Amino acid sequence: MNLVLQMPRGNLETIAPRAMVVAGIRRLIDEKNYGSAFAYCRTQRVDMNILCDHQPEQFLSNVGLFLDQIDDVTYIDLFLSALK
Amino acid sequence: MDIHHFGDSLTTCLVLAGGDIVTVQEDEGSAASSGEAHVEIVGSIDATITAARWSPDEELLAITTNADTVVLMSRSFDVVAEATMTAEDLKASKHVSVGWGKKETQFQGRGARALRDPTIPERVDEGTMSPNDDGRTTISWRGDGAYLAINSVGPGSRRVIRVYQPVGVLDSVSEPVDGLEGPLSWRPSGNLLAGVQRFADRVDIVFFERNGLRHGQFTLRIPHDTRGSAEQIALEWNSDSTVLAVVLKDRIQLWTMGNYHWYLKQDIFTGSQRATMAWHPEKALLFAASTSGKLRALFSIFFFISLCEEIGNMLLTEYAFSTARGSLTPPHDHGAVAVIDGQTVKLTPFRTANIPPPMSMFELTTASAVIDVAFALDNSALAILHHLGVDYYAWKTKGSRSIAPVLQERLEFSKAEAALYVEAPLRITLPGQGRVQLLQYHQSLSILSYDIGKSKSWTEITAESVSTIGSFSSPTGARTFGQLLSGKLVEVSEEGQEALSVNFPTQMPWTEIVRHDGQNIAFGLSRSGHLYANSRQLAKNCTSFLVTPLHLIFTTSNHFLKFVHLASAEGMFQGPVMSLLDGLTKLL
Repeated sequence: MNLVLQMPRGNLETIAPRAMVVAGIRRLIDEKNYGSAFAYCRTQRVDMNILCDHQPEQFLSNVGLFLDQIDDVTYIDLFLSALK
Repeated sequence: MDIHHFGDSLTTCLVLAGGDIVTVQEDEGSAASSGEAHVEIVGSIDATITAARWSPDEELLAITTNADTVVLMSRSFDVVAEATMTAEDLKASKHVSVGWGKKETQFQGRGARALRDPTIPERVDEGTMSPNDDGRTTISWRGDGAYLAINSVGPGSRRVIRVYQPVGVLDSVSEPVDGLEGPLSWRPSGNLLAGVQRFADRVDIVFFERNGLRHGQFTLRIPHDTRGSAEQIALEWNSDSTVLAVVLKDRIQLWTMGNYHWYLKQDIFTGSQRATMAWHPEKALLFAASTSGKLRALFSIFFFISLCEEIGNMLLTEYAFSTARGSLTPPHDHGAVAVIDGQTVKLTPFRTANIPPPMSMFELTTASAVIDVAFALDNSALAILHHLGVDYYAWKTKGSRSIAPVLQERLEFSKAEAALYVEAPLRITLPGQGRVQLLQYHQSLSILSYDIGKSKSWTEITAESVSTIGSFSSPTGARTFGQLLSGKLVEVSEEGQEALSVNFPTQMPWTEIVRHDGQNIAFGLSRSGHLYANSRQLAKNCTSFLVTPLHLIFTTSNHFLKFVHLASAEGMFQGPVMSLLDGLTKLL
């Protein structure tokens, strides 16, 4: 989900554009890889609501899987406090 | 000494060593076709002419004579200014070396310092002549015509580069450099003059500033068995100052600089004879080279060929910088990028490690200079095309990390180095299932095909007027496509060429075909920066682009990075997502 750019002098810049990050998180949710999707939301500061809003039915039927993949109480706190 | 053609007045001006300046006026219409021309001696100089060169705007002619004079003439051959090169000139510049970056200015410990005076440099170049020096004089103009530099040997003195203003006023002289030779080329952007310095064991390209001070250098890479090829060297910068061409006895080397590292981007063999070469004054990456031997003309674009035709004894070549990049489709999106540097390919998978150039994660070495690199669509293999053959590597991953590629097969062309001038492999592609295909030029264009593990030799498919090849995925597996000079896209197979449903209005140096919603979409970027999806124009100031399964991402010349959601080519809209970046040129 990173884009590497080469500047005129030859140096590299690596960015994580929002469009690519959000697209990547959607793909991870579709694959039911909630652990990685949460990790990207946290590090790239994407609104956590995407985790349940992208595929609401899939999320509600897989809450157990979600909790298994996010194996840290503080992360679950973070997710719950971000929900709107 | 010099020949120059004026396109506007159809005049060719010849400067002869004997001192005569001759113009040849072509008559428009019938006379030109019957081969008649108007020849006139427009001027004579008493002394022998040692060098001559027209200014970039074609308004001034600079001539040096063996009487050590510099004469500047206008287009009508009136003398504008005259100057004499004397030993007194050497006092014009008072160069003081403070030894920045040298050993004597660095800490050496108490013992070493006590032995000698630290203010005296250990060794000062005296400007001793190279044993290989032929005593020639070279003139080079700055790109804007505001200065000219003359590299000459004075009587009983060292080789000096003198910088003059076009009114005949001496501006500066160069500091003494041991083993400096005759070639000289001023970078059109103006900051550097390139020269050649010869050592006992190597040859360096050295740079001077306008004030005559030395600034930077790099060592030429010449294979050991062809040491003699560096006997006579000519230097030529291209018009936008990105490429320095070094003309050796049997080859032309194209060097570029990035991050203060000099890359040997391409080695072009010219046979046993020395070539003379000239860059196009406007098209930055187009040059013509001629030898008295084989006849060939070639239009190619950096790792990419656009037109081949035979015109006299000429080699006419156009290059384009392209990025050799691996797959972008998950789960194969390792962000692999390959950089060509002489006989090595520097390979970095950016997902595994973010290593900036000129460093790299892996370095793959080949037997001769690399021409092109291709990745398989699923990133499981890569192939390196070089002058003597193809190296095929299998590339595996360990978890999500890429591990070093393993050499699987070394395919060799059955020909000697001497034949490289006539038979030139141009581009390579990997359409999958262990197949290697390459585009080559041998009297006409053809595609060679080889199946790793199955074939015994190369199979040849004629590919008349195909200018570039690449691979794309189709429902039945990966295929090879070719682009014709008209911009038409065809699928190339053993059965022949079959037209694809997508086309470009003109021929594009950079192309990619992706499959989206069961349809092929072809993306192409033209030399002038126009970005096309099939025949629809998307942007006019694009500098580079790439296509992921969801987005088309491109950079523009006013430093924007733009994302476009992929839809059908007609329905594609420019997404609202944009981000501002500074000084952006290339996407990796």
